Amino acid sequence: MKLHKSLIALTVSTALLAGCGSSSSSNDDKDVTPAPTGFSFQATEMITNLTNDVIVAGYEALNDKAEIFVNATQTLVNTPTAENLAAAQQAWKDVRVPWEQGEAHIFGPVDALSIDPHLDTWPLNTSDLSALLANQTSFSADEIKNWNDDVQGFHTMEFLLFGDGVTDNDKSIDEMTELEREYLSATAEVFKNHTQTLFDAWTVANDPNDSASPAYKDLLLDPNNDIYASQLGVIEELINGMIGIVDEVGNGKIAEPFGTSIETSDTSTVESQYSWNSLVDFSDNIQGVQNVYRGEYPEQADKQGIIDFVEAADATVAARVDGEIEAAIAAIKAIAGDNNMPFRQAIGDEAARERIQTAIDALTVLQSSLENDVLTLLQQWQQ
Amino acid sequence: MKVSLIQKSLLLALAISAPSYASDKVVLENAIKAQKQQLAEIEKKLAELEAKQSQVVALEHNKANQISASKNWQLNSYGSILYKSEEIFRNIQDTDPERRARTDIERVVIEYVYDVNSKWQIEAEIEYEHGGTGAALEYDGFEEFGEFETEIEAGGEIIVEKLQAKYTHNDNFAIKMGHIFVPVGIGTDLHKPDEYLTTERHWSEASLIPQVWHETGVNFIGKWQNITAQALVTTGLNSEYFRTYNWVATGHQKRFEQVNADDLALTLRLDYGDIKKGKGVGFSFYTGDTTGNRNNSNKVEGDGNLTIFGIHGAYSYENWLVRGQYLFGQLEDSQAITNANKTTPGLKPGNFAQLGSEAESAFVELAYNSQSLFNLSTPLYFFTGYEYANPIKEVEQGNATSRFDTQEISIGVNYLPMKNLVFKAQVAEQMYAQDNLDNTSSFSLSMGYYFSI
Repeated sequence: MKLHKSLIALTVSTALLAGCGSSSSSNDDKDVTPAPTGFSFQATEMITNLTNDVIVAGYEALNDKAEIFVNATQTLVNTPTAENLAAAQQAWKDVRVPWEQGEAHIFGPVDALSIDPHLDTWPLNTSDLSALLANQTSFSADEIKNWNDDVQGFHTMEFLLFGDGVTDNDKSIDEMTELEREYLSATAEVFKNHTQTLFDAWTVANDPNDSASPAYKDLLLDPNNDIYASQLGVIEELINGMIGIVDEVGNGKIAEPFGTSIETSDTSTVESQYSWNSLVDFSDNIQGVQNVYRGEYPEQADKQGIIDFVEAADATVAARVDGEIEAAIAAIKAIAGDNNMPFRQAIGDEAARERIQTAIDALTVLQSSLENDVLTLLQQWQQ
Repeated sequence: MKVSLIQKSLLLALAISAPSYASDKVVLENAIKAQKQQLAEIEKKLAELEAKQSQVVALEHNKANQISASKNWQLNSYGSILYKSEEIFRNIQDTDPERRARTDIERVVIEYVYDVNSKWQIEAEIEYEHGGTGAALEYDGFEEFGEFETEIEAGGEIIVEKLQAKYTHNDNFAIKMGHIFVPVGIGTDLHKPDEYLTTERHWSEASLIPQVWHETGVNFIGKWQNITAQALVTTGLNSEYFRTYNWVATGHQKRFEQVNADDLALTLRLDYGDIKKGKGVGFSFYTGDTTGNRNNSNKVEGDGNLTIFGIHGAYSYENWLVRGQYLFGQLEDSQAITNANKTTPGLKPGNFAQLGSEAESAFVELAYNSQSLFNLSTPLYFFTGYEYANPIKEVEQGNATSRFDTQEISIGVNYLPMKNLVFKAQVAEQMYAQDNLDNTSSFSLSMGYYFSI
């Protein structure tokens, strides 16, 4: 947090210096008139909308879908049929969507309370998972929550639901042991507790140990607190959140397993490789960026987002960045090609590798625009 | 030598001059007599001169001794640098290691010792690790719900390892106080480059406890014949930073700006002989609570009591040296600490929060000094060692991961070209308890220096 604060302080002082620069020099040279820099924008509506209708709404969806998922796993434990397994697999994919989209704003309680590693640690410790399944006779949520993060969360549940993902992603009910179902259900329960904690931290009290602490959303809605000194700090946090995930998808999630050639590609570092859900994950990550940028989810009525802030300064940049986000999502989806190739296969396929490179390039362009053209607007913003 | 040379020269001169007086026997005899007298006088003078010379040497020697005896300070220094090529696992799921090489300026240590008088001594030791820069972790209780903040990135460390005053009452009793070494395990005794054979200090010990463990407190030392007994009361560990892979080692509060001292620890140690001199056996025992020293102390119910037992020994005979150690530790409330570490805001244990309720480690090494075998003027040791550590031997609930149950066999050489320098080379093979991990190998070189002025 200290880093964030100093960044904010630096930005604010840069903005102040930029604002004062011309007036101080006018003492020396009276012919110089102040350059017409700066733009004004009333940010309250945008911040309110992004906080309530994008971020908090996203965590609410995550929590609701986690509940549906827990129920699906319990149904599977009680009635282990192929249909119930398929339903649980689908429920896993459904709960994955708000989580991956929410990675565009992975600050606040999700970071401070270590919710991210609890829910989404990668890679999975398959050795320990196998040992647990071989040596334990039963599992409970109380036990599992104390174990290391690499044997619980999304990817543990994915492994139990979909199999090892090497040749297919459609584990049959016959391949699933009773103990695996029990583990799945218990892990899902722990998972749901974490999504509840996250939602409560945003809406009730940001410190789970202190019910009097403010909801985290109120810190954004009413800046001038310990975390956000002003609305400028909130907007900076939102823009940096977008930059963070674009960087992670382009330079981490895609580029790491991609390697420099087919020989150096590495399937072991592909996220969501068991369910073959990787490309959906990646495009949802950037969809999350679009949600914050535009201020609404797809198909929803137009509301204020970062795009409106950018537009107040430069309409051309606002439209260009919007196009770059769309292009990045399209490029990621295009990796699958005509035959719906999963990412873990695509990194080993020459033609698909070209499409992957296109997606990486699109993300690089987007990241550069967010860093150079959007984040820098904070210096010109006259609050 | 000088005398006999002069004698020979005189006799030769005599022999050469003899024929000119050969006709007159009496004259010759007289001349010989006179020469003999002269020779005796010369010998006498030479003897006197030699006596004087040795007196001067003795005087100079005494003078030097007097200077040495009057020097009431000492400056010691040691350091080591390492090159290592080893097979690295990229992550917890990786079973196909990649070979990487690295170098490390492991440490440069400067130690000042000052004898204030015959009873009191002050000593400070400053260590630069990994080239030396650093970051202190700060706990800010007024920020949100308490935050851990690191001001700068750590690349190395500059640390005061020791700052102690020692009072020696008599040959049988002494007290050390201040920031002192905790004598659990023999890593603290044998931490200078020439005191351990492996290229790096024993990793097995470092997998369990702080290596060269230093805390603030008081150390009572009793000596009687060959027996040394020690009792220490020092600051304890903080369970916030206990981790799966090295148990309580990172609970050493050196990462914090200030050390919480709500929980103190008791250390007892008994030694027979002298480990450093290669002849001794000993036993160490450590016990202390760890919950009170947490910054977020309300997150753990229970004291988090930690107990460590250690036995160690060294024996040398002629050119052979054998050393070994076994450590066993127990941590109470390990489940509660695990849970608290997972959910402490800002602490970011990520993975690796799960803690062993029991942990153990051991090593044994055998060395042979081949100096006389190769007719060398300085020592050349060949050694072989075995190390084992399992920081998560047992857990309170569920399965203990076998990922960190590791053994290593090493062979190597230590060469001391001169008294203050040691060059080491070692090859080793690591063996893992986890079924799907093949053995890995490593090769390392190191250089260490040490001196005292």
